[in-house]
Amino acid sequence: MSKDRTTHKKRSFIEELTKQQVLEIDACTQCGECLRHCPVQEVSGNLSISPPEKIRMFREFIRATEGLKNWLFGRDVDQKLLEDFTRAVFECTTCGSCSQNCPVGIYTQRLWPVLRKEMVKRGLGPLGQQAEMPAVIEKTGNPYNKPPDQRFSPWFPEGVAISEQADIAYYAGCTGSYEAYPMVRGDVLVLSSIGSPFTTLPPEEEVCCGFPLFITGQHDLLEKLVKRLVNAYQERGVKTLLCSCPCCVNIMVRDWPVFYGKKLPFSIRHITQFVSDALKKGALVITSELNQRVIYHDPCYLSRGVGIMEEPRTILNSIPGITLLEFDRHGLDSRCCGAGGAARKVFQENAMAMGRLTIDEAVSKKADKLILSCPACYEKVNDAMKGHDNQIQIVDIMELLADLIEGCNQ
Amino acid sequence: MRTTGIILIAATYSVYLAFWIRIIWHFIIWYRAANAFKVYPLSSKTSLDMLALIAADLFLFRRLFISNKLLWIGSWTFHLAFVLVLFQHLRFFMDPVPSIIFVMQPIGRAAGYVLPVSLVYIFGLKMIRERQRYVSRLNILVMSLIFLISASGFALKFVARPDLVQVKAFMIGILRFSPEVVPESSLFLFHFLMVLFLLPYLPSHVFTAPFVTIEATKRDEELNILLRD
Ligand code: SF4
Ligand code: SF4
Repeated sequence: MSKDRTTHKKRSFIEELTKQQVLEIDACTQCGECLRHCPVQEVSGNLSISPPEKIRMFREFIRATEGLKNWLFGRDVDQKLLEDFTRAVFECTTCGSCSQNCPVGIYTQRLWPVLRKEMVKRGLGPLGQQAEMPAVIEKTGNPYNKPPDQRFSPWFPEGVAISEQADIAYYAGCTGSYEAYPMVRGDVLVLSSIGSPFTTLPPEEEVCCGFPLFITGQHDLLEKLVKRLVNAYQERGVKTLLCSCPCCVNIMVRDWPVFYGKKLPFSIRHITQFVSDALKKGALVITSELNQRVIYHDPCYLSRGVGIMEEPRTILNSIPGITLLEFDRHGLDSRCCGAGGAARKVFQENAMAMGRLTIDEAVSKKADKLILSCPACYEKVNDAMKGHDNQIQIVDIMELLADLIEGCNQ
Repeated sequence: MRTTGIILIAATYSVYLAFWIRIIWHFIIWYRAANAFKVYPLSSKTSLDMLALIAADLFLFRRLFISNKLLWIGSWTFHLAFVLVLFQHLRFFMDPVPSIIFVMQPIGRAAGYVLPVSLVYIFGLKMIRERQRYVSRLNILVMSLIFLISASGFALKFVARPDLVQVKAFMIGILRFSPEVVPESSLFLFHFLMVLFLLPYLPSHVFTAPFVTIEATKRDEELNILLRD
């Protein structure tokens, strides 16, 4: 029976946690309010992977290593419970809907990745192909095991000038570069239309931002990746780093300073901020009309993650003729499309079902186009549409914009 | 009666001691957290608006109001009634009784009616929610205990009133560590025992949730400046 017990008795379960997170684990009232907003609950109905259950299980772990009974009599952690917990915490898309709707305000969008890290330290996580990511990123610079020299070549528009040194830099990101070409192509076309000089790193130098490693609790490589990227941009005289991927923007603004060791020498902006500014200043003019109904999906890490909700709507509303529709759950309350938290790589069925909920709502609202602004959403929702009864045209916001701007060479 | 009294008093002190050990232990766990996960500090500005929001979060349960208005009515009423009833009971623990506690007696009595009703309401609401119904066993236990405590409290008021002088002497005796004779009312004993049962299960969120909520309000504010500084 002793084999069923963990061998990690010595390691405490509060080693990875901040003091605030210890309070958060204690503060969950088990009210279950978050369940109504959890997309994984919506498609799986599995209560055992719900936020209060995860927190309850983790409390048990803390009690087992830190509790008074353990101190007096010694106590083991149930291995089965550890495995159940690991699966539950990795099945989550880290969409943050539970944080947003928690009456206590528990920051679960941050808590889950830290609890994942604890499971990684114990050798229980990550799951499936997530475990290969550190080695793959170390070798190729991206989590998809794709050739680094082909990062830009399949999609980078011809004739767009890239400066060696510039105030503005554009970071395309791995998912966009390898899995969502139209999106990053749209970014570059729109940036070039605005006309401010910008720089990018050479394809081999633009390595992963670290988000997939961060979110799966594998933090060992992060400092190296972050320092390499920050130094490379600094050498190019960059003052503002633009990026369209919400997950990259998230780690850049929230965690890069931690791994870099100090404040970043440049500011981070989401591409929609830069583009909506350009529209307001008249540096970018939308010349064509679009007489269509479009619906915009807020990516979790863009809305709940970094608070960008207004700018994409400003851009879409600037398009002459457009009718902008909203999902029932939008803005801070948007529902995850299933692509988040690297869970899509392991829990395919959940991700497909969530993607289809997004498609179905867009179709039921009679939208002509479903507008996305995240490469992971783009990849996953396109995947979910394969073989699905409901079909809709999926477009990235910059891809759409590039189509409507005169002179954008398509 | 003598043995019962000794057992009851011993149980009371054990529960009381266990309560403080629990609080101190939780504090030690919090204190020992290694803070290995580093968070880059964003903004520490606390504006007047933010203070108002924090107050609304803590005293009016603003977050629950936004998330679920039906539950908010029940939950807020329950917590308020609970505090008022506790306040009303202070007259049994204090000698002399401050005038504010006398003034608040009618409100405390009204809260005593509201308390069980709010519990039934919350429970009913959870039961009729068709999808994603989550009810924690601990919450059921706590809610049931509070229900029994308030029901027996009612009975003490309307059915079998104990000798209040005895009750007060007993309570003050316990607080002053010089226990008096246990009141001769089995209903009071039941009421008191249920409170003893409740104490070890009293959810610790009562103490920690306010700190978490304050941080959440600051975080909401940070979200507005994160990419705009
Ligand atoms: S982060 Fe999203 S998927 Fe994960 S538990 Fe919370 S609501 Fe569910
Ligand atoms: S909403 Fe918050 S307090 Fe309620 S169960 Fe979920 S995490 Fe816990």
